[in-house]
Amino acid sequence: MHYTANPKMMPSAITETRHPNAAYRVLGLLMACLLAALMLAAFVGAASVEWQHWQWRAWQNPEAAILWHIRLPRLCLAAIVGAGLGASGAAMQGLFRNPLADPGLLGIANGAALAVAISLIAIPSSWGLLGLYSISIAAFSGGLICCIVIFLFARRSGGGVAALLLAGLAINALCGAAIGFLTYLSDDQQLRSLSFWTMGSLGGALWTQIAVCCSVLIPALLLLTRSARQLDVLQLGDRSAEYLGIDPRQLQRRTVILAALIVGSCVAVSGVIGFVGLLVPHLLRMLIGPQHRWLLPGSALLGALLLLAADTLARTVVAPAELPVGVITSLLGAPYFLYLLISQGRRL
Amino acid sequence: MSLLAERLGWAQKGKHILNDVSGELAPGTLLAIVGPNGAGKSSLLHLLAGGERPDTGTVSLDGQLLSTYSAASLARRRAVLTQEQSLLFPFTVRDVVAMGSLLAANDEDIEHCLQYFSAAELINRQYLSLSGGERQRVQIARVLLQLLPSLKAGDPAYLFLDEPLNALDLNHQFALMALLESLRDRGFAIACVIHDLVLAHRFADQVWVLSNGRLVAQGGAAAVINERLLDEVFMLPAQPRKVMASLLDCAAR
Repeated sequence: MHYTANPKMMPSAITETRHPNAAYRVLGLLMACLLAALMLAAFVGAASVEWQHWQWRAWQNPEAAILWHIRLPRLCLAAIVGAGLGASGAAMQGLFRNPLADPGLLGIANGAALAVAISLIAIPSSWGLLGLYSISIAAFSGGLICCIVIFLFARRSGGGVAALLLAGLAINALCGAAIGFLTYLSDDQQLRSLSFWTMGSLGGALWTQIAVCCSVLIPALLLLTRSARQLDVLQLGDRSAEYLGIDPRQLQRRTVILAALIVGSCVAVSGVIGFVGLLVPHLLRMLIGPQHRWLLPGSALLGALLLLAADTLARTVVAPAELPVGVITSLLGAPYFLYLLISQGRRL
Repeated sequence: MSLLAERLGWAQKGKHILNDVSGELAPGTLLAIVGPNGAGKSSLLHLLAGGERPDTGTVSLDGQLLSTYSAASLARRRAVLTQEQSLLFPFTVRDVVAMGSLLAANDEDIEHCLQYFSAAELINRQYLSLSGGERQRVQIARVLLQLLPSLKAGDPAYLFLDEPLNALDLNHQFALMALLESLRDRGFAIACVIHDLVLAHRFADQVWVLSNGRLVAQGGAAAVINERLLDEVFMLPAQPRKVMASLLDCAAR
């Protein structure tokens, strides 16, 4: 035990000290930015909003209706969907041990959208709250099926990045074709709803939608954060995790279900919005490191902030018309994805 | 009080990997598992460690079937170094070693385990920026951290290592073997898949030789590792066999 290391082998390159306090600080900063962005974004838009509209009594005031019934629900929905997409991206990247996993790229969001399309045509829209939940349940089931298919494929193929992305490509193509086929079967009203889901939009947000989305998303997020340490250990490999007393299959099952729940509830209210789940965890890892106990809540906060900003851009750039928010996130995310592919190229 | 394997058989995808393997790993033993590539060494290690279940035969720990232990209780009694290399995220060395702890790890323990290989100076480095040998030293420190509570409590545990000498330079190969020896002296049972017959000959108490999934020889290192083994199991041609024989001769002296 008294052998000493060769002095020539002393460290030369990157050293890094990360303190838990740094993560706390980044998370606190993100929270403050999110609140400020929510306030700011409320004033920006096609119709002007005055300070006095913010008073609680102004709720019934027709002049304040834009703020309380159109803009605020939309901002809150953007934040919630962004949080869901960011956190589910982080969870899936941990699950697949792969920084390129994303609910959109792997076809899980499209699978959820396909299930929504089927339920839109099969279930009458007059079911109210039950209808909202039925859309969420459909989106969840579609997302879950795709997630399981991709996961089983990844396990069989040994988890290679290229194989995973190609499988996602195939699922995306399949779901796209199925949605395309459904458009031929749908009437005018259904066609409008279908194109809304495939393009991705936060317009027409309702407080009830937000409540339904939150009732699924918040518990799922909390449960995900509880297995943060196990997700860290899983990065060593299935076998090593098992030797450390973790049941990798159970952890993977739980994470797949929770991630699909979150993606499903996001797709149910906003359609398919790409790249948030890819971009956000990656940026955060550079700031606070890859530990999931910080990464999961941090990705929720940064995702909320990013989608809020993207949506504000989407509705102001060409005001009074608006762009689909998915266009903005793809404009940001796709070049970044290319950059990641190039920088990770050697490992593919 | 030992780990007992009885008539183990294991097949994967219709191919027999192990056939009728029996043996005992007692506390205070350093066991080397040797054999040509594809002989089933790693598979045997995983069966002994409880990572896989045998198709036939049994593995029992202290008289109780290994499959009846919970994953958590086994994790307190044995640690395993696998050959998995799946980390893709920018964890620091501290993060990676800390994963070995079943509870929250403190910095002091992490540094302590890294120090065994004079690797304490790596603690703030990014794991992905390390060389292969440095990564291997960090992984060994992680495995040590898992058993640190038993080490501190003087309660011997089991340690399984799958080709731990991979990528280590000569200096660290000897340092690792010396560390394993000192753990053995404290009552630990250690099983180690190893290719270096000279080191196996010099350090191991027990050697198991696997060939085509069968245990063809087991016993003390001096009795098992000889020229016949090089010829019949490793099928070494005459010239390298001669070189190896003289190396083994030196190691014995």
